[in-house]
Amino acid sequence: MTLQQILFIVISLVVLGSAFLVVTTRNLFHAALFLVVSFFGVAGFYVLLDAGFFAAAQVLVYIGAISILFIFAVMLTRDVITAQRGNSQWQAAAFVGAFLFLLMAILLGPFSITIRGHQFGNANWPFDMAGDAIKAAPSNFVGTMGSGLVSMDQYGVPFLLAGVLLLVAMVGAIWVARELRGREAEKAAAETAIDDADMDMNQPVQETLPLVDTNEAHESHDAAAVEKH
Amino acid sequence: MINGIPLYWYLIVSAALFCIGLYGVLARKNAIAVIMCVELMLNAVNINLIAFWRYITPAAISGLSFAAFIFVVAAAEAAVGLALIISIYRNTRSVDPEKIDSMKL
Amino acid sequence: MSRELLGTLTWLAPLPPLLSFAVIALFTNRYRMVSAAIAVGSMLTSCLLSFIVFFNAVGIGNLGEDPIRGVPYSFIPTAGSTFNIGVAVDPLGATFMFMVPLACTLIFIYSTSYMAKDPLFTRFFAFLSLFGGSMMGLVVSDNLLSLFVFWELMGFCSYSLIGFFYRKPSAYKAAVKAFMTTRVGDMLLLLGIVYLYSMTGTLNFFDILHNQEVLTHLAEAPAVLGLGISAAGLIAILIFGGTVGKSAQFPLHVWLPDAMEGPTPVSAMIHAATMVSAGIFLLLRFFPLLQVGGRDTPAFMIVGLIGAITAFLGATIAVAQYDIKRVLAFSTISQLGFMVAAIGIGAYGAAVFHLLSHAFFKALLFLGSGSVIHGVEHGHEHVAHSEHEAHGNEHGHGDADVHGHDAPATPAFDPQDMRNMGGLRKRMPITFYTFLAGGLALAGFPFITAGFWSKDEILADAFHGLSTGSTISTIVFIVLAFSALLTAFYTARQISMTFLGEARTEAAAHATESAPAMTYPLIVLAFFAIFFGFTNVPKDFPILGALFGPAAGWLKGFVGTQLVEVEKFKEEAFGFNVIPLLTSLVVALGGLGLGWMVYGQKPLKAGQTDPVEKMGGLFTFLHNRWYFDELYRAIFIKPLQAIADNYSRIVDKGVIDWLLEGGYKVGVGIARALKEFDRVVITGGSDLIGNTVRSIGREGRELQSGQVQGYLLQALIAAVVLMLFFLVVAQ
Repeated sequence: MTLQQILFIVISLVVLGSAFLVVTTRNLFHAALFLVVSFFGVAGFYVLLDAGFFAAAQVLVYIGAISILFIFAVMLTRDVITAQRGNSQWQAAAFVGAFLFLLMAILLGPFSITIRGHQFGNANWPFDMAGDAIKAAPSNFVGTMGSGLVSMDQYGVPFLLAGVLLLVAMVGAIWVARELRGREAEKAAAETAIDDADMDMNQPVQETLPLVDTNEAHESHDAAAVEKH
Repeated sequence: MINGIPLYWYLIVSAALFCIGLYGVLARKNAIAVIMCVELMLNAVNINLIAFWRYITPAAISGLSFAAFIFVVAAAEAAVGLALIISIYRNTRSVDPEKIDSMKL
Repeated sequence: MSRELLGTLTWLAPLPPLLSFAVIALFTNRYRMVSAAIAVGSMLTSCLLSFIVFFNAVGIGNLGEDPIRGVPYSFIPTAGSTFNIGVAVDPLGATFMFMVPLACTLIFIYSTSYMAKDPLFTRFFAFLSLFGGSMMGLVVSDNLLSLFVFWELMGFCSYSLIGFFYRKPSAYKAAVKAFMTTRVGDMLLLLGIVYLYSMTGTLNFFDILHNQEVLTHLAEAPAVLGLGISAAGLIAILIFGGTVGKSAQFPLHVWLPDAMEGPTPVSAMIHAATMVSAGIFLLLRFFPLLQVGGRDTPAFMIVGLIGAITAFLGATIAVAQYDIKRVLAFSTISQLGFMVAAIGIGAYGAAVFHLLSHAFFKALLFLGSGSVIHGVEHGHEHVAHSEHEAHGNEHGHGDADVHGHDAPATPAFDPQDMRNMGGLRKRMPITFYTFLAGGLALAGFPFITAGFWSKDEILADAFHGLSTGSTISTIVFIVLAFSALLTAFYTARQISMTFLGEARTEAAAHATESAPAMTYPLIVLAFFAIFFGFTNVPKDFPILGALFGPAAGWLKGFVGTQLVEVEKFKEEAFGFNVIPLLTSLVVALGGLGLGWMVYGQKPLKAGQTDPVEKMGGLFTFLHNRWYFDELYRAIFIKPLQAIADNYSRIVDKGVIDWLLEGGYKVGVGIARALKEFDRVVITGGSDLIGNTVRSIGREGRELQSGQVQGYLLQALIAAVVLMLFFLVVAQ
């Protein structure tokens, strides 16, 4: 058991544990904090994968920006946050999630499975995974990546687009979340009013719709006729 | 296996993280929490990408670029999403995704 | 006249009465005068046509071998063999064409007066015309099929006319009895026809009876049951069965006395002159079948024996009857027996002669009795009327007074009972003299009556047979002689009781002579009763034979040409023998004299018992007709009724009704099951479909909740399914 393996196990526990807590905890602030922990864990993974740059980027971007964002949002909406954990479909979601994980585990696991002539499991992957080829760690991948990102032959355009995307996102976010005043506020309030009566999922859908009236009439007529006999 | 860690460890961990995030997206009763879980899913994908980059084509930068772009998109998306939630909160006094259902019929 | 023309007239002859039936029944049945005119007119026309044919026919020499043929109508009931229906006139038929329409016309004229008071007058003439047409049709038929058709038609007319007073139970019962009894005979006849057809392949008389090969074939083939007789013999016996029924021979004679329930003209026509003669006519037609086996065949024996028995039976019963018509009915039975016996001993010509002369005098006697009955009835009404006048009451007469037998006001006065008559000689003279002529003819009064000559002819033939050692002839001779004696006796009794002496009742004292429409036919018939005999005086008869010269024995010669030459049966011309003549004289005069002594010299007074009753037990036996009706009832009717009752009870109500109820229940059960099926499966099924769709809709509606997380879950599930699909199923 090498050091990296132990590290890996510890980090994966951290990541998965905190992720699990994110999705289950009632207190939303705690969820945001657990999220931060999870991000740290992921950064640790990046280090293990010899992608130090990304680890740093992860910490900066995710933990430094996004998590702060989450905390702001939590703070701003604190008065309507309820203590509920799961919504009405959490069982189906849990089941599907578990199923999907199992599926993926089988496909990606170290087994070799043959279903109907097709082979699954990474033991069958054409490139040797469960084993051998240790590829050299890249030396200056950051520089290569950087030059790739600015070069028009490679990823220059997506890079520019990414920039545009960020700009647009920023502008959009500012505009969407602006404070509405006066008539705008009233109109928005009226349009998005929640009709609580609609919300009740347990209320049965109306049985008789106008279209089936004649049918109903026939049915009751038939029923009456049959009963006469 | 690099440093004794086979690739599939990373893959399974990222799959688990992804599914946890998926569960959270589908089952959390707070819109902000939903976006948090989306971030988890994106992280899982990133782990996957980086792992594959490191183990299969460490010389190329395509995997890395992909992961970088995901960073960007995740950030943008989180910002916009949270802005939307604030807006909805202001108008409807609620952040429950189940209550926001006017997108039917 | 050419033969073709005569042939046309022959088939035209039956038509007028048949058309008259249709016209009266359909169109004129509300108009009495018109109907009567049509009926009488049609019969006259038929008579005229027949006479033309007859008088031409007698001039044709070889009529027997080559009869007048008319209108062969090809009729193909079976593929392959053609079937010709047509008419023919041979000597036998020619003589009938003279007698039948003449008698019928006279009776029609008589009926216009006799039935004048009856409300169903037109119906009577309709049936009478139908009957007349049928008889004519039967006489001119040249094949067994159309003969049988007319035979049955006459049976139907007989039934309708006997039951003419259909409201009287005795009348309709008598009609059914007549029909049923003759049916037995008709079935035997039909068997004979079928057998004959199967043996020869044709039903045409001339193809069978004048064809030597066919006759010998029939004679040589053994009968189908192998009873020891030839096919010809069996066929002859079966056909004779028809005669036994139709001509009221023993044992099927029981219907004729009851047939007197019909009106008197019916009795005269059907049961004296024509229908009963049809039976004899048929037998005469088929004489060659009898001949072909020779004189001593069982067929001849049977015919002769039955004839003799019938003659004896009828005569004995007639002696003990009081009803004037019943005496005549049994007399008819007896005389028909004479004719059949004559055929039985092979005396063809004698039988024909007696048939024709009997037709005339028996019709005369019946019509005369009708006149008497009418007279007595009128006398009775006159008396009753005057009594009521004396009491200051007015009665309406003629209210639905059907002629017959039940009558009126005072306790059951029977105008037909001879004990209620007497002294009518002075009050109804024409009726008396004509009745006397007929009666003497019946009794066989020597020389001047037709009856004498015909009966003498039969006795002569019988005696000849006796002298040549034939057993059947011996039996016939003795029995017929005795029966002739009885015949004369009861005739004298009848005449004396009816006409002589003093009236025994008020009704008889006030009787009136009948209308001319009734008395003129009587006169015409009386003429024939006297003079018809002279058509066949035997050549060898002392004095009179020579007197007639070539005309002597004309009738026998004329019909004799019809007979086919058959080897085994040689008609032997025999000379005159005095013994049969003496026998005839003795029995006729003896019988008449005996009757005169008992009844004529000391005519019965009112209330005096009939001397015949002194026979005590024998009288009762004879008066009750030898108890044949009771015997038949016990043997046939009661078992059949028991079977019918039981059948009705057990089979009809028990089995069939049970089956039907069961079927009904099954049907209802099936209906109920189907109704359930309809309710559950069909209605339920379609309801199920509707409900299913609705619930799917209801559930499906909830999928579109508008909630993001819900949509996400659905998408995820879809993606997983697709993924599995592509992983596992498709690549």
